[in-house]
Amino acid sequence: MELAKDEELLYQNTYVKHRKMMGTFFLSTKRIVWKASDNDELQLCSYYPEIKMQKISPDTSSKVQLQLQLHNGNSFNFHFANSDSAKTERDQAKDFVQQLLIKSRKKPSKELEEKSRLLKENPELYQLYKDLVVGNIISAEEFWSNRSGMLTSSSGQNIGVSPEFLTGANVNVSGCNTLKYNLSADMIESIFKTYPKVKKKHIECVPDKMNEGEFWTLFFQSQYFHRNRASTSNNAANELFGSGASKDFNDYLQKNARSERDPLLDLTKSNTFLDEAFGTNDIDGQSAATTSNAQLLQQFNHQSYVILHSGEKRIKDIRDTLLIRVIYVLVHSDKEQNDSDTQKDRKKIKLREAVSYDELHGKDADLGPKLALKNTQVYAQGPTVPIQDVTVISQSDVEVATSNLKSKLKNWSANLVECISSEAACKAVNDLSPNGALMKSVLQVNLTQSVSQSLQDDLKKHYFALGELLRHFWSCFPVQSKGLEEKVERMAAAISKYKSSNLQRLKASLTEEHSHLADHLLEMINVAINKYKGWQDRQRNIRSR
Amino acid sequence: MGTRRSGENLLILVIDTNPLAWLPFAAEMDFTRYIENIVVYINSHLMMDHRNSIAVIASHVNKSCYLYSPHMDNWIKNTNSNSTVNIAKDGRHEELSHINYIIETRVKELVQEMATADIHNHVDQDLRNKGQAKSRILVIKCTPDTSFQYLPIMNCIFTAQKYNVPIDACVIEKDSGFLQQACDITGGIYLKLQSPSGLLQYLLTAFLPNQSMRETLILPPKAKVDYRAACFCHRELIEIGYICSVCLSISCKFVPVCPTCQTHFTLRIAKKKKKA
Repeated sequence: MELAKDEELLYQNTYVKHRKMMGTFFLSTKRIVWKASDNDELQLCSYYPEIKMQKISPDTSSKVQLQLQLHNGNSFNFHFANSDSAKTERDQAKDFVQQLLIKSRKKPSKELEEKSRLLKENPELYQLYKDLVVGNIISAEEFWSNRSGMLTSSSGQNIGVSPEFLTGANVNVSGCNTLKYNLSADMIESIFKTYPKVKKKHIECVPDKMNEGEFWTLFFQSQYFHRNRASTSNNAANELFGSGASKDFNDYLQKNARSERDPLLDLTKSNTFLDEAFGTNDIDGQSAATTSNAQLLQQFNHQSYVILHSGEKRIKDIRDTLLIRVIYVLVHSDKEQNDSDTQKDRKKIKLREAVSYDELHGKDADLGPKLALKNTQVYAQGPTVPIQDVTVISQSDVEVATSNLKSKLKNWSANLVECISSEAACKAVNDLSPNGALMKSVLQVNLTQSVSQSLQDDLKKHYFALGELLRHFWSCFPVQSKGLEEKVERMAAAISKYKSSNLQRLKASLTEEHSHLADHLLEMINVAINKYKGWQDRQRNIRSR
Repeated sequence: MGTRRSGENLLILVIDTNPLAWLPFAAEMDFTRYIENIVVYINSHLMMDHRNSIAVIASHVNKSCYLYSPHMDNWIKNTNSNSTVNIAKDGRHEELSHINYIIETRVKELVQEMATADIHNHVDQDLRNKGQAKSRILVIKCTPDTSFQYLPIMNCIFTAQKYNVPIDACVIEKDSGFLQQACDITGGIYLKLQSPSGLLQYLLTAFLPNQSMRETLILPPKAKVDYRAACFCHRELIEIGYICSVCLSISCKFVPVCPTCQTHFTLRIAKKKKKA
């Protein structure tokens, strides 16, 4: 198997059958290859992003097999035929494939998807891509580097936490008093969002101290999951997760105590029942009579808080949620005296917030500095040419004409019937008919009509591709860094290459009458090449000095 | 009638009513005939569709005013009530005779008011009053451009463009750079007549069809418009020049201090590399 430059062979097994033919199974960092041992041409190759999933035959099966299912619906079966160690080999291969699949599914594939979507939706971009990248004129990275704005435009929405994410976990009862939970990635995410501490622990423990399975087993045995039931103490679990969720909540309260205060809102003063309802008055631990109901309520509150909080960047909104405020007030009513000074300030701020609305404020129109013109007369005239041919009518003429007109108008009554002579009308109609004095250019042959559609499309393609190249080229100037220097050279080479290959082809395909159509393209190239030569000369001069 | 009906196609007609500017053409068509031509054109426009409406603006010596606007229907009652006797004596449509009468009277008034004359007529200054949807503007002009009104005219042209109001122009004898640009920018028709005789026929042929009909007609081709600007320093047309980044004044040479707004400039020159 030939490996590409940045490819590495990870695994190889010479006893693998595919469709009952013996062959060699390779795993590289980029793809999976199977090659028949007696036929060099016969081979299978699939890249990891194409692979949807892998399956293995059950232990009870007579054959030890590995199946790859592709996104396009195809699947390949590989039979590990080394009679002694088929199973261990298969498992080894499976583990490799597993890891590589995960790797390939990370960010790059998402980016690729986005890129392919862009190309699909934008045929012009696709054409450009075909011309430049597939034609090996610029590299794909360079092509996309200019379009990073297009790529990052779409950002997914955060998925919230389902209310039944734990009860919704698929539980399989498999005899012997054991329960089997199937956790999906979404569920794990939900658990992390709801119990930040679990996430923390997960980060701490999982790869080093225990594996994923053990961790989640402990989780389900711990108070986090069972805290509202009769405590089934499991020492290992409690050790890991500490003394339950209330700790999480207390942490939060400690942290946010000061900022969450709303002096205008104290529900305890208006309704003493709230104390009970929210079950929070004994959180500080002074009261021993912690009823399980109170704890339950408290956990509800906490869970709501955490779930709301997990909605990224909405912390400010959450602060305003009544729930949190109430809890705060209830918990800290005894400490109220201590910070009465700061509370006054806060009260002021809160009052101001309550009575003023952003919408009602006039916009502070910051129009920037005013234009200070010294010479306004010139400015007001704008970029116009003064009139040269002013015909001057003498004052006496004006007076005569005015008085004539005045006297004429005195007795004038519009006679609309004879206001145009038929000769004049005929002339006007002639002038405005095709080929008339005012319509001369109408019959000129249009370029769009004489050039065929395919040629137009072809030209358009060329303009697109060359325009892109030239844009890259010109954006390098002024050349201020080593990277730009290299890019200029690369681009100049690409442009010359374009000139010698693509443009030559275009010119050859043009007929005599359309031969001028390529001139402009050529001119653009020449300007760029001249610029490049000038720049090169200067570079040489600087170096030789 | 009262207010303007929800009519489509309001035509705003800006006519040059400077009788002195009309003097050179008096041999071919005198001023009264000119007004008659325009009145016939207006009537034709109104007859095209009962929802059509019209506003006429006279661009006069040193001032401009409405000769007629849809809001002026009551005007007739307030003025000379005796003259209403004359109206509709020949069986014309009442509305048309109303309008004709108003225009006629207003033109008379205008000319009587006129004292001494200034040959320069600022046709374009009045364009700025426009900008209603579904309307178009037709400018009939026989005086040369003056640059004193450059900014308001340009503002008005771009406003028209923004509101999708095409500006048509029918100029007599002298090309108008402003109107060429206005027509080009707003997608109107620009027509230059060699002489005013037959004006009515030109108007009826080229400018009567409304916007939607124009697509199907063969109309005068769009001429190439000279968009070159003149530099502020010598008033010469230039193709490439320097523009002040603050006040947008144009100069043909690099100047360290903008003559209009006194901004100081330094020409940025690529830094030379030090000797290696």
